[in-house]
Amino acid sequence: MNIFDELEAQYNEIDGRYSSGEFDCGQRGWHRKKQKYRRKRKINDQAYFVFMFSRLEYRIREESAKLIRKKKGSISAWKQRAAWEILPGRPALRSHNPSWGEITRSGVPCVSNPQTHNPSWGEITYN
Amino acid sequence: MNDIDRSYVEKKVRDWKDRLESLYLLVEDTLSGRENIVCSRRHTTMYEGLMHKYNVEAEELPVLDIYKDKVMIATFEPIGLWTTGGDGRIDILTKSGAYIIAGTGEKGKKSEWEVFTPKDRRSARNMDSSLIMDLVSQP
Repeated sequence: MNIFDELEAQYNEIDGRYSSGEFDCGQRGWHRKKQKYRRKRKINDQAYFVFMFSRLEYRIREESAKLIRKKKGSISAWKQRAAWEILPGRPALRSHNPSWGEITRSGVPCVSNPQTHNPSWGEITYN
Repeated sequence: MNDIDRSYVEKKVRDWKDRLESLYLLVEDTLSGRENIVCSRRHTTMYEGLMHKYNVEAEELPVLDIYKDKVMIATFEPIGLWTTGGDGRIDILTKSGAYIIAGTGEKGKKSEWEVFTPKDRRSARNMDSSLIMDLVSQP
């Protein structure tokens, strides 16, 4: 089982538990508790999305770094080469955005407080 | 893509209400012949970020409850219109988890909805009468 399957299974397990709870509370007319379950499901959705997006972001960095290395290796004119030297030749693990969807060396995402950085991401504002 | 302005947001909201109405009619029509099944509607309030931004008034959206032998077995709840990866999302809450209905945004297709069951979130099913019958046949 790869990390995507594992994450998907975990997401589904949590969503299944919360959505059953949400339905159960709806059946009993417990509206405040139902809203709590709804909120928990929303956070679970967002966490899953952030994780998947961070994997995609890392893959893009990896592929772009490969292309940059290839380009650097093929340029001999120093003026052109100098411009390419500014670009990173390997994916940055801890550079641009240290708290947003970053993949740590262990492969575990490090998300401190997504809401602070991007309050509208994945926003669903129903009352 | 259209420029986003007030009339665009109003149009999208109207379209969302129409699509919900068609979906609920499909469910109600499919279940209409069954004596032990009752469909009942109530309302929830829709007020999403773009509506707030463009000063569009909150809207009432229908929620559809399905009862079997007087016990609630499923609830269709609109979750959001502006969602990632789909043109609107509705959840069907059941005792065994949530079915996620995502709008495909492709009008003219046989089904404008894709349904992801609690047991399989990867392959979509069409929103059709066979799915609705499966839903009410659950133990």
